[in-house]
Parts: sequence; C-alpha cells; structure tokens
Amino acid sequence: MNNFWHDVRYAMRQLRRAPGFTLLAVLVMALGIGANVAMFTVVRSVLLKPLPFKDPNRLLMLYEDTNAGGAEFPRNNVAGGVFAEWSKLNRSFSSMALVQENQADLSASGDQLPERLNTANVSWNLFATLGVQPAMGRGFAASDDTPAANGTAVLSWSLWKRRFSGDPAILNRTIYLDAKPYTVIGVMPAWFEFPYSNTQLWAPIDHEVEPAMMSALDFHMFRAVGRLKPGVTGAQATADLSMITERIHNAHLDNPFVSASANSRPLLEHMVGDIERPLYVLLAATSCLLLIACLNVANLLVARAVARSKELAIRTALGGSRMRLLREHLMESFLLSAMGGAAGLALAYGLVTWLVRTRQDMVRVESIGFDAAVVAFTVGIIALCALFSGLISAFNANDKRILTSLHESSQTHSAGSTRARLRKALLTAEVGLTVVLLVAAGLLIKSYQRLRSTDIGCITDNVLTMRIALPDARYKTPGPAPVDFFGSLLTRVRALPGVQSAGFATSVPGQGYSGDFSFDIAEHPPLPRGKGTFAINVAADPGYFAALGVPFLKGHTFDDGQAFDHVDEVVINESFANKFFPGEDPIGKHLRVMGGDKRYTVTGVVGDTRYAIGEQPDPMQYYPLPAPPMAGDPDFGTLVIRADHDVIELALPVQRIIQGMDPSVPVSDVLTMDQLLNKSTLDKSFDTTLLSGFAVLSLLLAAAGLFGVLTYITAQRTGEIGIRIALGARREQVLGLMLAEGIRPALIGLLLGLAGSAAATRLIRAMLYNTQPLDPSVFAAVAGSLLAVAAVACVVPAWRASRLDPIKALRTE
Amino acid sequence: MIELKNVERSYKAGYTQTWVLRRIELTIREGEFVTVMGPSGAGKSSLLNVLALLDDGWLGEYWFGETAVHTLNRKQRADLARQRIGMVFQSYHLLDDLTVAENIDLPLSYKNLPSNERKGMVADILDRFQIVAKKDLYPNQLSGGQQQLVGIARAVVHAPALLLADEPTGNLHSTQAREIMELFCELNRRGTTIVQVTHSEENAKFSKRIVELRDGWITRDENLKAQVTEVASS
Repeated sequence: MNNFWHDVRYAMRQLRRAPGFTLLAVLVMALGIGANVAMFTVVRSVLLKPLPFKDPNRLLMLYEDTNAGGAEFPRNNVAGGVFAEWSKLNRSFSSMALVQENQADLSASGDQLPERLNTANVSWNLFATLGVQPAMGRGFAASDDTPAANGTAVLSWSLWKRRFSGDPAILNRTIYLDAKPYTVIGVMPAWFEFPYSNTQLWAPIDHEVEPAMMSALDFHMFRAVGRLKPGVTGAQATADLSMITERIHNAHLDNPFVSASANSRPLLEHMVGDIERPLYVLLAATSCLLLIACLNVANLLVARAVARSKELAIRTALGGSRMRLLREHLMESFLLSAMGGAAGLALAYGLVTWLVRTRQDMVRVESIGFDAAVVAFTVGIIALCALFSGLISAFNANDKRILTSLHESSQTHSAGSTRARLRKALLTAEVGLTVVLLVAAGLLIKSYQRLRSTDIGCITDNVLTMRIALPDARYKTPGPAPVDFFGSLLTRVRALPGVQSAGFATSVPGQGYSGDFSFDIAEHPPLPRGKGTFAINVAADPGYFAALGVPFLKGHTFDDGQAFDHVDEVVINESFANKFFPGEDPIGKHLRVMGGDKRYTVTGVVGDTRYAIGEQPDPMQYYPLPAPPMAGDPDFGTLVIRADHDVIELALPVQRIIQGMDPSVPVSDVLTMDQLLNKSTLDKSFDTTLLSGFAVLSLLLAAAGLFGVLTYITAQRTGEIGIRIALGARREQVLGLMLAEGIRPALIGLLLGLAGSAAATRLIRAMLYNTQPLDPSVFAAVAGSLLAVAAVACVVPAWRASRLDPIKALRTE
Repeated sequence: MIELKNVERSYKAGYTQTWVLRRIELTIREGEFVTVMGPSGAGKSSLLNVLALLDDGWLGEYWFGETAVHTLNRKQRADLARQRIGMVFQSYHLLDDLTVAENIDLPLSYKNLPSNERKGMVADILDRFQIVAKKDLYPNQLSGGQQQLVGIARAVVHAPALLLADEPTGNLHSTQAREIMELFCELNRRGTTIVQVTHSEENAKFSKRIVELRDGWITRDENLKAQVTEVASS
C-alpha cells in the first residue's frame, strides 16, 4: 500500500513538473472520454434501458401487413374493424389497446390563450395494457370509452404543471377541447410518454372517433399495442393475428385495401426504430474519437519517455525492476486518464444536458440521464484508456531499451528510431481512424446537402405557412361552416399590403403524408376483383397552386364556382397522370372516390410536389374545399402566404386577422417554408452536425499528433540533419525529407482509412439520401483535406529542421 | 588555395561578447597538409567551421582560390562547399539507418548526379578503401576504425579539393589512428589539400605544417619541412 501511495505521489510530482504536457493530455482525454460517456448515456437511456412499463418484454406493437394498389406496407396502421376482430378472437394477448395520435385545441381560459395540443385517442385499457397507473386520479374506465359518454381526459404531467400550475384541484375540473367540455380524471407520471414524447393529453378513442371509422376494415388509421399472455412468443402471437386477418381478408375479397396478414415487433423496437442506427453510428464515432485520443496521449507519453530515458536508465542501473518502472509509468497514465475522465464526465454532463434541451422531440428523451451504470462505464473507460495508452508507451520503454539509451552514442545517428517508428505507427492508426470518421461525416454532409437541395416542387422563398384548426363543436353544422371561415380569411389576407398571393390546403409540401383516398377512373375498364388504386389526397382552394408556384402543366385550377360549396372537379399531379393515364390526356376524364358514385372531372394537371423532403413524388389528387365525401368539411389546414419580401413580417397581421375573426381559433407552426423544411430535416441535420463535429475534432487531434511526432522526430534527428547539411544537403532537400517523414505515416493512415471506410460506410447506407456509400468525390475530398492538414501540421517542424544551423546541430552531439 | 584575411568570429552570450577567432591571417596552398592544434577552447573547431563554410557569422575576407567567399550569399557558399570541400568528423557521424554504401553515396545524392555515375563513384571508393565487403553492413556492425574509414571515404568520394578533418582519430586507438593518418598522407600525395584539427602530437607529425591557436589567436605557424614562422600576436 505504501508503494502504491508512493507511486501516486511520484506520478503527481512528475505531472506537476510538466504542466504543459499534463494539461494537453488531460484535455485530449477529456474530449475523448466526455464525448463517449455522453453518447453512451444517450444510447443506454434510449435504446438499451427497458421501457418503464410493467414486464416491457411482453409488449408488442401490432401492424397490418398490407399489399394494395401495387404497394406493400409491411407495418401498416391498423383499421378499427380489424382491431375489433383481433381483440375478440385472439388467444395470444392478455390485453390489446388502440392509439391514435391527434391534435386538439385547448380553449382559452382566464388570461391564457387557446393552445394547440398534441393528444392521443386511446382505448380505455391502454394504461392497464402498458401496466402504468396515473400519478393522480384514475385512468379511463370502459364506460368512458363510448360515443355517448361524457368527455374525459387524462393530462400529461408537463401539461398539468405548465398550463395548470400543478394545481392539485385539477381532478374533476372541466376543460374545453375543440370547444367541447372534458372532465380531467387523471394526471400521468412525469416519466410517462406514449405514443410520443410530446403527447400532452389522452382521451378515450370511442368517444373521439366516429363509429364508422372504428368499424371500417380498410381505414388504416390506428396504432395497436398488445400484452402477450405468459408463455406466448411474439412469432406465435403474430401468426395468431395473421390467421384472423386472413379470415377477414377472405371474407372481403372485393375490397383490395383489406389486409391479408399481420405483423408485430417489440414495443421498444417500434419506439426507437428510427433513431437506433444514427445513435449507434454516433456511438461508434465517439469510440473512434476516444481511440484517437488514447493514441494521441500514448504518443505524448512516448515522447515523454524519450525525454526521461536517461533518468529511467539510471533508475534501472540502480536496481529498479522492470515491473516497478512499469507500475510508475502506468500510474502516470492512470492519473492522466482519471483527471481526463473527471473533466470528461463534466463535459458529458454538459453535452447530455444540451442534447436533452435541443432534442425535446427525441423519443424517450425524458429517460436520458446519468446513473450508476454511466458512472461505472466512465470508471471502466478511464481504466481502459490508462492501460491502453500506458502499455503502448511502456512497450518501447523496457529496461533493455533504456540501457541502450545510455549507450546511444553520437557516433551514429537516427538514435531512438524504434521510438520514432512506434510513434509513426500510432499516428498511422490515428490518421486511419480519422479518415473513417471524415468519410462518414462527408457522406452525411453530402447526403444532407442533396436532401436540402431537392426540388420540393414549389416556391420556398418568401412563403409563410401557418396551421389553423377550427374547434369542432363550433364549426360543425348548424354553426358556420369551416369553408366560410377559410374563404373569408383568404379574402382578408389577400387584401393585406405586401401579400402577393395566398392559398389554403389541408397539407402543404414538406408537412408529411396527409392520407390517401382510393379511386377509380370512370372511363377505364373496371379493375379486377381485389385490385384497387389510391393516391394522396389534399383539399385546396383554387388559389393554392398560384400561391405556392405549383405550375399547371395542363388545364386549369378549380372554377370559381367550385369553391367552398359545390364540388365536382379534381386536379391531379404529373405522377398521377403518368401512372394512371399513361399515353392519354387526363383532362376531362372522371374519378370516382372511395367507391362512391359521384364523378369528379379532371380539370388540370400540376407539377409534382413532395409531401416530405427526401421522399419521391407520389401521385396526388387535389379536391376543392370541402373535400369529397367521407372526409367531411376540412376543419384544419395550412394557410400559405407569398410576399415580395420579408414575408415573416406578415405573421403578426395575419394572426391579428384570425383573432379578429374568432379569438378561440389557435394558430400553430407559424413557419416560413424554409423553416418548415429545416424542421422536417432536423434529425438528419442533427446527426450530420454531431458526426461532423466528432470528425473535425478527430482531425484536429490527428493534426496535433502529426505536429508532435514531426517535432519529436526533428529533435531526434537534429544531429543527422546537421550532418546532411554539412555533407551538402540543400535546405529544400532537408525540408522535403522532413515533410516526407511526416506525410508518410499520414499517407499510409489515409490509405488504410480509405480502405476501412469502404467497409464501414455500409453501416450508414440507410442514413444516406441520393448518395452512394463509396461516393468518389467524398473520398477524394477527404483524402485531399487530410493531406492538406497533414502538410500544414508538418510544415512548421520541417521548416525548422531545414533552418537548422549545422554547427549547432553537430554541437548537440 | 585558401586565404583568410583578418577573419574574426565571436558569439554573444547575454551582454558579453566572446571572441573565438581573432584577426586570423592564414594562407593554405594547394596540396598542403595542415594540422591545427591548440588547447580546448582555442578556436580550432571554429576555424574549421569557417573553412568548411558551415559558419556564416564571421567577419573578414575568405578567398577560396579566386572566389571571394565573403561576398557570397549563404546558398552560393553551400554550393561551393558541396563542390569543393569534404568533411571528416571525430564522431564519424554516419547515419545508422543507411548501409556503408548508402552513407558514402549521401554527399553525391545532394549533387543531383545520375544514379549510374554515383554508383560507379561509390564502387571506386569502396574498392580504393578496400571496404567492398562491408558495403551492405550498417554502421553499428563496424568497429570504430572501420566507421571512420567509411567517414573518410564519404568525405572524399566526390573528390573534393579540400578535406577538413575535426579530430579524425579522437575516438580511435593508436593503431587505427595511425592507419587513418597514413590514409590522409596517401590522399594528400594524390593531391588533396588537407586541414586537420587534432590534439595529438603524433598525428600532427604526419602533416607538413602546424598552425597553433590560443584564445582565438594564431600563435604559431610552423612548416615542419622548412623554417618556423612565429606569428606576432598583436
């Protein structure tokens, strides 16, 4: 024990004597360990920690496996009618529940403005199925979940705290959602988030959704979750549901949109599926960064061992055993790692806090936090780093070499070349890893650029969008129809100074999939039994296309007489025309929607737009407001306003108009088109930024490594350089020699890194958009940048070497 | 061949100026074998560095044949040294990553000579110094005497007009030292002008002329085969 403390004291003294070295090594370690601990914390909390529900391994997300209209949807949403059959007939689940994400307007009260909430309509038994109890009050009872029941709602903890100031008297209080009364019956625990982290309120699904939808077999609009009975496997349960689904399918062969089988996966997998790969890629990136940091510190330790070789030789000569010297050496690297780890832990805390604050939209974000496992991981990683960097540097400091160092005379040169070789080897590995990170970051950057430069099919400059939803209760008959509200709003907005054009649609490009309608073409022969066609549907006013600059390729927009009252026209997009009217003119042809008899005349063909950036254009059918039957009057949608300049300045006047028309109508997502697209690519932008950050950090570490190694080599070869100059070497020849010395390991590392990247980039293939994993321009750019950085890092020590005074150089001998 | 007129060299250390060469007047004729002697710190190596054109910081006039070295810039001096001067070091200064043949080739490689020509010159010198068998060995596989032999071979491979040697036998035992000195005499007989710095009276006897330095001044310039010239230390 005494020896241990002696070693600690000795190592501390050594580190204090070299504050520059200590600070640099601790900083490098802190960066590597900090980034790694932060990513581990996120990965563990989000991907690895079991869901905080009762027996989470028995929870499955259930899907229909649909093959319709020539497209396959292996994880399709569940239709209400199919779910009802599953619930009644299955033998595998102890309980099953339905979930439907939704939005609702929480009415103004007191001095609080109306607010648009993300809500979920759920089966009364959802909380029981998940095994969760409300923190306050009760969950839903079966009697709450009927169309005739009084409205009831359960609040999220954050909504209760934020909107109701955590008022304990919230239970049994009446709130107004879409201007309808709801009794608050419970508040969920703070950690509970389902189906999304931003869900703020839950309401019973049978009370919210029309009975027709709840019994439809081809309206795939719900998510379903089931709890397996003990002893039943996921595969058995899926087979069970598939059998029921097939039976339904066989009984409705006329309807092509009734699925034939079912599918499932663990609930955790469903929840984290989209972010699993990016998070693991980022964890791999931070692991590379840590390895680079360790290699850098090992390199610093090697240089330090050289500087102290005489001292070590004397210690050995005085009887210091190899083990003893190794222990002292390892103690030094352990202290460096421990200090780096402590700083890294603080850095990781900062990073995680920032991440949680920045990415509130991330699934399970509330569960991210430090715990004993993270601390254990940090301690483990400190020990690993200490051993790794300590042992590598100790490798060249065994007693034989130390004694040799005493004999290294000045009669021959390039003394210490073994150590130089070791440092170069470490550097080569460092550069190789950096290249892998740079290539991955380069591919993501290129992919992101391509994503952002995708033509979404409409004008994005100086276009403002805002979502408007009319409270159901007040805008259903016999009240004022939504179309009247939207029509009046458009007239007033268009009259605002600076407004070039304005339009309204249920969904605009970049806002995501807005749903689809099945249809058939009246002039075409009937489709074979069991076959169907569908396309995305949007309801829009006649001015929408002009407002967004969506070009008319043929025909014209809806007639003025169509607007808002009687509807028998439809506009289709180019993809629709190409797919369903190949080689014929669609203008004047007729569509029948959802199996109805009403015919809609195609009056125009517009250019393609993309519902989401990064998605291929899909066939789309635009109907005038109000949309065709079954959709009812659209009571929500997006207002688009185009201006000559500074469109954002119109946001306030427009909101004032809306408030003037009806103070209870909330406006949400007031975004320019560019902001809307930024929002929709936030995930990719975040992943790309983070990975690029790690790659740049690695590049800096590698450059510092190169600089250090070449400075070291220059110092080692001072005598040799002096001799070369004395023997006639020109300054530029010495410069070239030393540059080559530094560039060579960088070049080898580059080649190894490029080869490694060719294998590693397959892992991020799924994260790339229109970019090949072996994109030659990215590989070439990385190679060029790395060599340029290597050259810059090497040029100073190489220049110094070429300026050496040969007399001084020889005198050092 | 060489004429130094009023050459002086000093170093600044803090606020003090230390003079290592004072008003050196020295003429070395072609074909001479000169020994520079003197106690430690007398300025022997400094004088050799000036002669070798490794040092730029001196004052005065330096004539190398018809060339006024004092008017040349650093690059021109380096070119002159590369063409006309060879250096032998006390510590041999062989590069241990290079073989004997590669070490000898080193000064040639800085002259941009064609590879074949260089190979021929190296082969000649290996043969002349009877070290052909050692050509692929590394310095640490040679004895001290053999290493210095290689050092000399490297210094003369490009047939310099002037060979400068700084304590060439300082690390060798007497037999090896004698062999090296005989080699110098042989080179001198063949026409190479040699200036060596040594402490050894024995080695000095192999030369034709002794120049003695003390505290940077030339205190004696003695022609061993003719009259002795005392130099005023004014």
